[in-house]
Amino acid sequence: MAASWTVNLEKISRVVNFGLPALTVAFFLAGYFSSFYFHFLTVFFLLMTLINIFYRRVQKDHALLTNFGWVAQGRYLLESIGPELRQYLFTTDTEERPFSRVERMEVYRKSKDIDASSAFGSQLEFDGSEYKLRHSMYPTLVAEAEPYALTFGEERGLPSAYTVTKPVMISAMSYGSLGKNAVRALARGARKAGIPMNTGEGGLPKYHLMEGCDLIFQMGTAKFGCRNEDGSLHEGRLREIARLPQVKMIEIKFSQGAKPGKGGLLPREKITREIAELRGVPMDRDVISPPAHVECTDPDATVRFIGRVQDISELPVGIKFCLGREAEFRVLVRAMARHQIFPDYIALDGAEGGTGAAPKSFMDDLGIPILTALPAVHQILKEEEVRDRLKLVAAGKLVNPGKQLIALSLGAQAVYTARGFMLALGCIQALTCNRNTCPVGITTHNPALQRGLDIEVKSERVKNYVVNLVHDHYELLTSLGKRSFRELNEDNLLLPTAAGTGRGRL
Amino acid sequence: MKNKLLWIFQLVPAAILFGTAYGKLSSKPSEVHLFSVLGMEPTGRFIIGIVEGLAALLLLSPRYSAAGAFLALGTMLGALIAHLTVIGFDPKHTLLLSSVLLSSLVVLIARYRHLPLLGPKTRD
Repeated sequence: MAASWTVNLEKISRVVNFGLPALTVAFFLAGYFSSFYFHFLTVFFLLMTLINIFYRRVQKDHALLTNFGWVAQGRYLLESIGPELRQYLFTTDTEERPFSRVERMEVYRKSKDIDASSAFGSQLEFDGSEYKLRHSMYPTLVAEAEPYALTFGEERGLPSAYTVTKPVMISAMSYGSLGKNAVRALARGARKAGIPMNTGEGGLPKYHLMEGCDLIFQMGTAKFGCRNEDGSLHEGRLREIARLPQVKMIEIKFSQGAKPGKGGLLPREKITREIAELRGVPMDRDVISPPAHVECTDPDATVRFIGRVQDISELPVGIKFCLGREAEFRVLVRAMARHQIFPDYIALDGAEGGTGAAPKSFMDDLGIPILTALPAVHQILKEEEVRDRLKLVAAGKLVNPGKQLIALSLGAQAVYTARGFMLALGCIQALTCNRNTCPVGITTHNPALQRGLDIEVKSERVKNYVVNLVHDHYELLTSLGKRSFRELNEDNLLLPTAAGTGRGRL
Repeated sequence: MKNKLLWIFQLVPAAILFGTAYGKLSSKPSEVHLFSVLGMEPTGRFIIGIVEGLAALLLLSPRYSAAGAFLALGTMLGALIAHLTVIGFDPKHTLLLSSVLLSSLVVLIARYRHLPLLGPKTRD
């Protein structure tokens, strides 16, 4: 008996395909013999019938439409709201990507400054597949902990050396990838929280400058804001930017975790007249930065270029990249030692890092994840005896205090996060950053969508997020029995074992 | 070139539809008579008038011209039924009806991909 109750979509489609012309005729007769108003329905079903004929006899793109007509459209309609349905209803709290609801909720609660305690038990894995921190039987007291401080440029004795007092910084997000309200809310929040913000590679950081926070000016491979026609460095413009009182450091971007080996990408949909002017690019096509700096053709040239930027800017200068080959990095470090030119910091981006837009295969399959790359880079710097010549900053999905402390234990001295701060701004992970349709107004230039992003309210969230992150950092630090962030090392960690997946999930 | 040519097929029906919509909404005696014969006076006259006006507006927008043509086609099919079954044909109405019908068909054939359920899928 059960079989007679199964839903047979093929039969339903046959009924619909016959039913549409039949209803057209029926309503025509009703219109003819009863009231002319029935002809509204005659026309409606006539048009439906015509479209059905188009689906089944004319178009060739979709086999489903050819075979089933209108009923197949139901599949496409339902499928199109699949991502929303899964996020609202069907995905469990730990399986959403890139950030699970558990991870996002922690950021949301921190940024709204509401009770962050959890109940009953952890949602995470305890099968050896994840990094864990090792606490001490003899925790120290937060009041006794040495306040965090890190001075970039102290190795070179720079007068412009820059000190941060919190281990977390806002990672690179340009005006272009983000809308102006989002940039201003982040910048205002950074000022309130007392942390620096990276400008991203978007040319002169007009909106970043508005709120008076400390800035790290990022120079990408296209050198927006300080480029010559041929893509080489325009020294005068860089000097002007470096003289801006808010710009505290310069960061030369070689690659980023989300698309290592490829330059930045700003989709055409997001290029407004203002952005085109700030970057000096056309409006009618995607802006794709070159994969490398024209000056940096080999290790020696790269090191010389870093030295040149240091000389021009007279500021601490860092480099940002995602690790590909350890051997290649070692050669670069040796070139640094040979020339005695070291960047003031290395911002190491993990392959899991985020982006507004990247080719899918680059996002998925290229680059070394941060928790593998970080110890490798740290180790190479130690082996080459230059670890004390520069600072190491880690990035790549490090949005939660525990993960950040794990990075700090693996050799990083500070962490960068971009998406953590986007979540603090109210990002709901709609995954539409490349389409100019961000529903919460962060990665869009559509004024109607940006209206919902109140700069003052969201800047407060950014500040809260930082305050609560740092609170947890000190709590975790002292539970490890440490008094200073400098005491953190790999011995604090339980590394993932083969018993788990061995991937070191974050 | 193709776009410029298509503008003729958008402007002509839009102008006709604006005219007929104005006639219906301003209760022109001939329209009132027509809709009395159809038994749709005055509600049906106002509904059709509004739909015709909307179709004409959409036909003039570069982005929604296909939707305008679709709406125009719908009203013209209704008009065709009216003339076939109740009113009969006179030269003036036949000319107006057929020109709107044909030009909206041309616009639809050229631009049907702009319509939501007929265009390419933008999502996976």
